[in-house]
Amino acid sequence: MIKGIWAELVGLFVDDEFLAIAIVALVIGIGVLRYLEIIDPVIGGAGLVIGLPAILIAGVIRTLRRIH
Amino acid sequence: MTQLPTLVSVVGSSFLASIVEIVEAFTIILAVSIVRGWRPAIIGTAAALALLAVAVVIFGPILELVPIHALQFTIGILTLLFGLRWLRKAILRSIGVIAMHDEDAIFTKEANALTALERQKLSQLEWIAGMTAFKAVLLEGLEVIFIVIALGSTRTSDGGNLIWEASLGALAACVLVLIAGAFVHKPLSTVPENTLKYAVGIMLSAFGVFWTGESFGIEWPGADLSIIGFGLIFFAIGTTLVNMYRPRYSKSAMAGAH
Repeated sequence: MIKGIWAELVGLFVDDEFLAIAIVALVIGIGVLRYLEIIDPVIGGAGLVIGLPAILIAGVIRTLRRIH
Repeated sequence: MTQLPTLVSVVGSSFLASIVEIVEAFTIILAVSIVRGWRPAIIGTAAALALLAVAVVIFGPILELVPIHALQFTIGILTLLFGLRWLRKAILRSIGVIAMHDEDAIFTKEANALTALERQKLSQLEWIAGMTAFKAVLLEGLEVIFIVIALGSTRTSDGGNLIWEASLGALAACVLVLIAGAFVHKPLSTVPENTLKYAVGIMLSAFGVFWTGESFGIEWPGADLSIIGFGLIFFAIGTTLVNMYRPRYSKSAMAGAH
């Protein structure tokens, strides 16, 4: 029962592994680069605004190809 | 003072997202109550609500102690995972490659499962029915709490947050679903769940971009108003993907049916 609830809780955030890993990798990547001051805030913001929608598009197209 | 568009976004998104979750929980509670009576449904629901209340009382004050950037980062990344997951699924449902969420089907499945157990004359049937209601309310309730925290963490100009406003949105959704459920007394299958998930997926993703950026020290142009801009970007992407792929995939689905 508790195992089932835990699995469903994780499932709230992780459904498609590609989508979840790509989001976490992008956000942490930009976070590290910002922390080390390798990129300035404008580049970091642009990375999120361009990167996250791109991940969504890739996630949808990937699923469509797999189903097809 | 809070900008009106931000307030409307927070309360509206909290309301719409909570409707989706509460309708899902209501369907299972109704199945339990129709098959096994109101007693296990009410006990299971009350136990889950009590546990959720305890969780809020314990973890609520802890959230206040977390440094703002750490909180924004954690909530931002979880909101992105949650919101983009909903949005991806809503887009795929709109294209026609995955089935729509069907409250009638879920109700029938849960009712059949409990009826099958009843035929076996299991002594713990009351317990199983109660636990079914408990699990549904606990999981959907946790989602509502997460959504309220994610949306309500929006900072106001006086340094406060919008947790109360987001909670009011969720409470209004709860009252609305309970009133509708009491009148209809069957699964609320006419609620446009995919459209709601689509809209909420867009808003949560937009909030997620905003939070993660803020946690990295990014000052978004227009401050809170940039959330609406991010929402428009996700809306444009979703609409474009649906318009591009729906004709192709709905055609192949129809061909497969013949």
